[in-house]
Amino acid sequence: MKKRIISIIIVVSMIATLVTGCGSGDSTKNATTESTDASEEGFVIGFSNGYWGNTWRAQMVEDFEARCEEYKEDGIIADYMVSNTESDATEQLNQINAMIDAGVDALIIDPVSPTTLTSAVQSALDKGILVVIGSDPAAYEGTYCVCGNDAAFQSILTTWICEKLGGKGNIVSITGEAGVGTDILRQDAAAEILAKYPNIKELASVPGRWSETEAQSVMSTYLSTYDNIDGVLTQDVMAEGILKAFENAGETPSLMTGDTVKSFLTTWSEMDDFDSIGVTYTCGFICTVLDVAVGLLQGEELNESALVANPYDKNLKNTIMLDPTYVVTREGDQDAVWMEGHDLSKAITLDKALEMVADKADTNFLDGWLSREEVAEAYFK
Amino acid sequence: MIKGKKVVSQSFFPSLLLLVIFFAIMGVMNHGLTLSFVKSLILTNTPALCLAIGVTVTILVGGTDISLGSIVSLVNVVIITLAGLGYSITISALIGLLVAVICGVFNGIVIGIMRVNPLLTTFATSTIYAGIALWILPNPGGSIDYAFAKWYMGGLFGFIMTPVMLLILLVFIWAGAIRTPFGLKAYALGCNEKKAYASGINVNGIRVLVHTFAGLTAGVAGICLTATICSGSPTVGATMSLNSIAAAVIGGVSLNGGKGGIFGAILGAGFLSILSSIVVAANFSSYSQSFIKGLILLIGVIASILAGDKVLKDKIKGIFCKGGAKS
Amino acid sequence: MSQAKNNIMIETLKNSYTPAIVGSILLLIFGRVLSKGFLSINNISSILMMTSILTMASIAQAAVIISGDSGLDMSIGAIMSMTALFGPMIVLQSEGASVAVMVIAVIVMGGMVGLINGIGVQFLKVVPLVMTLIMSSVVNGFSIFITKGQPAVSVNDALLGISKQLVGPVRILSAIVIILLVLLEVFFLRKSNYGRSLFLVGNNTNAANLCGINSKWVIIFAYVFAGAIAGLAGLMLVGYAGTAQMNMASSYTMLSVAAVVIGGTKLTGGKGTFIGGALGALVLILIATILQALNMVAGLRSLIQGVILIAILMVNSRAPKLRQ
Repeated sequence: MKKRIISIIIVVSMIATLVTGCGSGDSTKNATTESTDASEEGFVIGFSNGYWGNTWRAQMVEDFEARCEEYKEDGIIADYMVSNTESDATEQLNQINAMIDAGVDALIIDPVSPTTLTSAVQSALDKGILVVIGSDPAAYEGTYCVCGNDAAFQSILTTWICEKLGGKGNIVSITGEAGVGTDILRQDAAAEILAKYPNIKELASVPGRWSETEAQSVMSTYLSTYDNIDGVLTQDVMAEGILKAFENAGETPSLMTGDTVKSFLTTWSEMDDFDSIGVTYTCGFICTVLDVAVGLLQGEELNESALVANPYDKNLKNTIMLDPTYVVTREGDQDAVWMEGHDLSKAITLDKALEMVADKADTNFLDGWLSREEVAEAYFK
Repeated sequence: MIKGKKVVSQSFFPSLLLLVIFFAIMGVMNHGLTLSFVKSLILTNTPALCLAIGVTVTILVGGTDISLGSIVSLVNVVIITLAGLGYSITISALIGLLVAVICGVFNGIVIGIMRVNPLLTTFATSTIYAGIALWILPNPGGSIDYAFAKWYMGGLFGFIMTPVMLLILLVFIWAGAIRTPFGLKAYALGCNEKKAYASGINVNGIRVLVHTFAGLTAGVAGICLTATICSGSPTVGATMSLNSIAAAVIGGVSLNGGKGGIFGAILGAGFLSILSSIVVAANFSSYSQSFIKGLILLIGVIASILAGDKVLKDKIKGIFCKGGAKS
Repeated sequence: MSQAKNNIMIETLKNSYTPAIVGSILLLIFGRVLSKGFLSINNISSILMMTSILTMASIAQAAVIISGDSGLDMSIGAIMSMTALFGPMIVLQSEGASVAVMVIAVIVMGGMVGLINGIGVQFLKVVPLVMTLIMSSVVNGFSIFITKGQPAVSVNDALLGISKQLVGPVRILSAIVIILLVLLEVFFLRKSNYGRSLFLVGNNTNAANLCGINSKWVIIFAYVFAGAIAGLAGLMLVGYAGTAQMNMASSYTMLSVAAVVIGGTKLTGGKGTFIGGALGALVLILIATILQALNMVAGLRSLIQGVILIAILMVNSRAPKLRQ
């Protein structure tokens, strides 16, 4: 009897937490009753984000929410829901199920892993919900995929470093998180390019897991194991950790691929003998994903020629690949060897890039995305 | 009235209450609980429920096991790889199950016979099993026929779902075991190891058996998970180990051993699953979701433990009714 | 009489350190065989720095484990990540003053989390494993909530200066940690009244209570101490790495437990040293660095780390036969 009293008191306090949480969140963000009357009142969009561990992802969610607010003001979107998980495939499934049950019109999913979504996608499609896989690719029949072009991203970086080395030298590679789709695609692209430069030797390749600290530790080990490193091939989010490793070892890096975080760009501009390149894999891609989803919900049709084969399933032509928005080098050369075949990417100088992030926090990534009009023109009929 | 009292005084009562209340909240928020939602919930979370059973069993005898999630990943990888090599699904699944049992036995031997601390052992073995999984399948991929998923989502009479049947099977095995002298000995071991040994109970043997059973549950969980996602992912089970322990504790299982049962753990796991869904459906700002989830979890665990603590209960009883009869 | 006691104490201490010391030497030799640059000053200094941070985490963990009653702190990684994120946000006029305030702030932050842990464990009777595990979830969620995912500020130069070289392979960070380690071991653990009560309580709570020690508060303070030290460790981590990301320190939790056990502390409480934890940390970092230098595939590395850990445990940490 007394036990029951305690339990009830405590459960009531839990509910109180929930209710207060509800209230203290944005007051407009409650699961609304109008959600299922789609076209008149506005759509409800659900966004399930599969990785939450770094600032890139946080910026992406921010960009998404800002764009949703724009749509809300125009009355096109009635409400939106965002959920995040820390690479937990089962939790993502739970979150997607919850969104399906809450009655969303479209689901945008950034998958934890490209292969774990089958049941969720199936239930969503069964209920007539539009499913768009965003940012990180995955292949499912009946869905659309709007993702960054990882292959283009990595080939620009790899071609740059091979060219700068004059086709000859030793490099070490630091990759992303083993097992994640993006990482696999990038490694394949890098391998393809490296095969074209037979005199470039890759001494080692270790995952840096898109973490500055991990990259720092890996680079430290590299520096003590190899004394003939001519260049470092890496990807986003890790450049500063690598610089730190060099600094701690009392050495200066001469050549490495970098990223587009403001603090790295600042450090780069302060080092005269240092050459690097930053390619944006912009957080803002998610805005384009949202634009495509909204367009489809409004009944627009996609331009057939804009669709290419899905990176995970060559037979499925459901993908819009977004080329890197900006390529940052000191010279900003649009016609360089590494820009070949990537006409939609804009080459900009380091100074211009710094201008663009001048008033942002140090951890901010150089961002930029197509406007709604540009998306409509490029991808829709 | 007496029956009511009996329910309330069970160790799993707090978790039952939590589950019911949160289900109700979910229903209110979404204006009704659809059958498809409940079905998806069960399908997606059966692996977690299996693990809750497995980990409870190891806790009951005074130990613990944080390697079950890695075993699940390993089973998933094994099944997918074998299916990819051309073996039939049934054989792949059975071999996966066997692998899980072997992992359990290894855990049991190191803990039971070599007498290494269970927490550290299973931490080390979880690194080993996860490493093997990542070694066999470095990248997520592979796929198996959707027919496997259909079997999983279908079931007897098209109504009693396969996962439910698998769960019932596990519960039966354990419930059966409890009623034998084995069960009594296991609980005795959990209560006091030295006294149990002095009574002639085969402490080492029980430990090995218990971890083997936990391995079995992880194997079943791995099969269910593979059916849900129909593909392989080497890190798929990573977060499940610690979640299962939280589930067990919420379900009234005492980490000191000797108290609680698997029913509570299942309810606890159910509560955790619906917690994830509720936090999303309630549409909290995404930055506060983890925080709120953590807070609710904290309160849930405290509630369960308070509800089960005799000393505290007696103290509070003493405040409420002087010298009253025990409830 | 006390001279003899001291000798015996030294002997027992030496015994529990020997495996860790021997292991470290063997690993260093193995590393040198593998790669010429392994014993270079740079490599050793980076190994020392990573070990220093793990040592701080294991000091925190050791205090809690010694307090007995299956004490364990699974929230150390989360506290470290939290202070790594929040610490650098404190910006004052002078950078040096900022660092001073940061140090105080992170100790207070970590201490508060530790206090909650301690209260949960002692008053609410939640088992330490679960209490601290759930707190780690709450702390992580809290970090995300406050920073909204974007740690706002860069690390000021004074804090970054801990990576500067002092003498040979020893950097400022390593020097600070070594000094702290010795001070804490001698003055906090061995000589102070609190230290002695901690061991007594860890050994047998009832007996300690009978001796007039308030075991509840001794144990709670152990958690507060652990939280404070973990907070400090987080600040060192961000100073070393130069940036902070969410969950960056999550692996430190279990590593600190492993380090403490390898160093000879018993999980049942009542016995142990901080120095042992430091040695254990050294062994773990050496293993990780060597495996990295071997350029193995990720799965194989995890596998080998697990096997080595099990081997160490089987040699080092077996419970006595029940027959006794």
